[in-house]
Amino acid sequence: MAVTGEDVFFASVAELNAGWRKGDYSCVELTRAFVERLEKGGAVYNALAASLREQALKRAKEVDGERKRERFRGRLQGVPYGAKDLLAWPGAPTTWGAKPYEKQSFEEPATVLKKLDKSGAVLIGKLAMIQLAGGGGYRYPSASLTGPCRNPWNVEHWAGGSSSGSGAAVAAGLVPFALGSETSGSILTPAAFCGVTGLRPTYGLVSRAGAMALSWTLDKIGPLGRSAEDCGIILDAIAGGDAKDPMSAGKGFYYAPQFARAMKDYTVGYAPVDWEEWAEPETRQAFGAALEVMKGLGVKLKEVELPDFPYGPMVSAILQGEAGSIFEELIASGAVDQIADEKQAAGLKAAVELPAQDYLRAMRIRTLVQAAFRDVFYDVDMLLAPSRLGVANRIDTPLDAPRPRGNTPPSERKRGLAGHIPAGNLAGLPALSLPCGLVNGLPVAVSLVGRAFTENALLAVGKAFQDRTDWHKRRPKVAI
Amino acid sequence: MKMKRREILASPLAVAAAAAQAPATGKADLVEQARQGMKAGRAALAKVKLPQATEPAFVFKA
Repeated sequence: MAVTGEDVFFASVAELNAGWRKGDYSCVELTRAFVERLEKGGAVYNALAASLREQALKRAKEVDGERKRERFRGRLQGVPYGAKDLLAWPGAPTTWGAKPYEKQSFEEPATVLKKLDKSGAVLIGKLAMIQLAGGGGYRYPSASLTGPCRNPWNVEHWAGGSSSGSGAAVAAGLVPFALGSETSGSILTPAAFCGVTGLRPTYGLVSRAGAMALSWTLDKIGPLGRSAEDCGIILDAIAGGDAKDPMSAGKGFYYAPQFARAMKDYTVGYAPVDWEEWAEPETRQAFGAALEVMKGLGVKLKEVELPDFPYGPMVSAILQGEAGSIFEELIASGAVDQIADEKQAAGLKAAVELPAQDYLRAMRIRTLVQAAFRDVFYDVDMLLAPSRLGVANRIDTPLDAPRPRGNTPPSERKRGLAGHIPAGNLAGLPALSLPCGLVNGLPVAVSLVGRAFTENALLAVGKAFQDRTDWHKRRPKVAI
Repeated sequence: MKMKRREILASPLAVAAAAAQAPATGKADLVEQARQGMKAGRAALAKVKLPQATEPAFVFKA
């Protein structure tokens, strides 16, 4: 049976796996359909770094053979997917999105890709990314070997970064799911801007072996998919201890929605100032409606705010200290000048001058941040805040240009939870971004941030939210 | 903590943002701008009261 109609490209992984098991289509048919769509759409949105057509079809044939022998491996078997181009995969370049590495290749696959391969998922493409995952600080969405990644909801706008291609490809139905990575916002941002569900796992839960390092103490790998449920299924496959990742927590993850607590047993922390003042005015209605849905689930809401720390400067110092060392050779050789964004190259050059004292001070304050978050989570199970305070930036606007309302708060205000992205990353906490509306045709999203290793709780509340809303099922008009 | 507008504008973050928005003409200017951002960050970190016994967060625990 052939793969027909648009619906299949927006089906959940569970639906795709069920269709394959039933024999509605073979894995070869499904893979071919997705590869063709990815190659066409990837060019439209600048979302594709490399198609893996031949390898993928060969692997798909093997997976079909497993079905014939009734060797079933789980809920991702037979499902095609894409991966951010910072994950090593033999037989294809792994460019890290940057000119100096455009011919780079690895023989050993990244642990996460090996795990997905073992589960029967089929890697069909390497997806575009901001060069070096944004290390050094980029100024333009075009800071990528593949050009600016366009948002499928409006191609004049950016897909977000640094896992740009992962967000755009899932949103446009070019892949059922994708892997991205986050150092500080690189999963949550493209997930929010592209209207897909994104999960940033607890630091150490998913192995980074075979992934480009940007910051040893901040990097995490996680899924972008159609729903909270899909993200749970994917995390189940990729999580787990790995001797090849020195920072691995040595813990596994079993997605267990059946053991979710009743919604009334969860206490969710939020800050009214986020919704009423920090959020850009045009987005407040959509965010307010999402907050009402959360209330309607029966969870207990409690007002909280982030502990008072300079999260932005802390992330910057840690990133500069670690990235300056990781890319020392690139910088010293002068090859850094080949990258596409002069500001980013300058940021990397300056990073090697960061005094050890600054790095260590940031890392010592980080200990206080972790302790402060333990206190926050005595009172609440998770935090809720807008993923980003506005919609995706325009492609042609520098990312450091003032937002419509201005970069500085317009009035006296509280901290709220607006700094949850750097704060949550510093504390190594998991977060789940859920689409919650469209503003001027562009998606907005809310994030749940939880205690370390409580992904199941975030996914349970996320699934309950998505059972009551359909924002995660909305599709952009795809121009393919 | 409530911050007044003038405090927010004077904060190191705002200084860094302003530095980032200042027009820079050459590569050397951009490097200097990045250095200024690092300096502003250093000033923000220096304001945090840090007990002497605090060790860096190299180990993460649930």
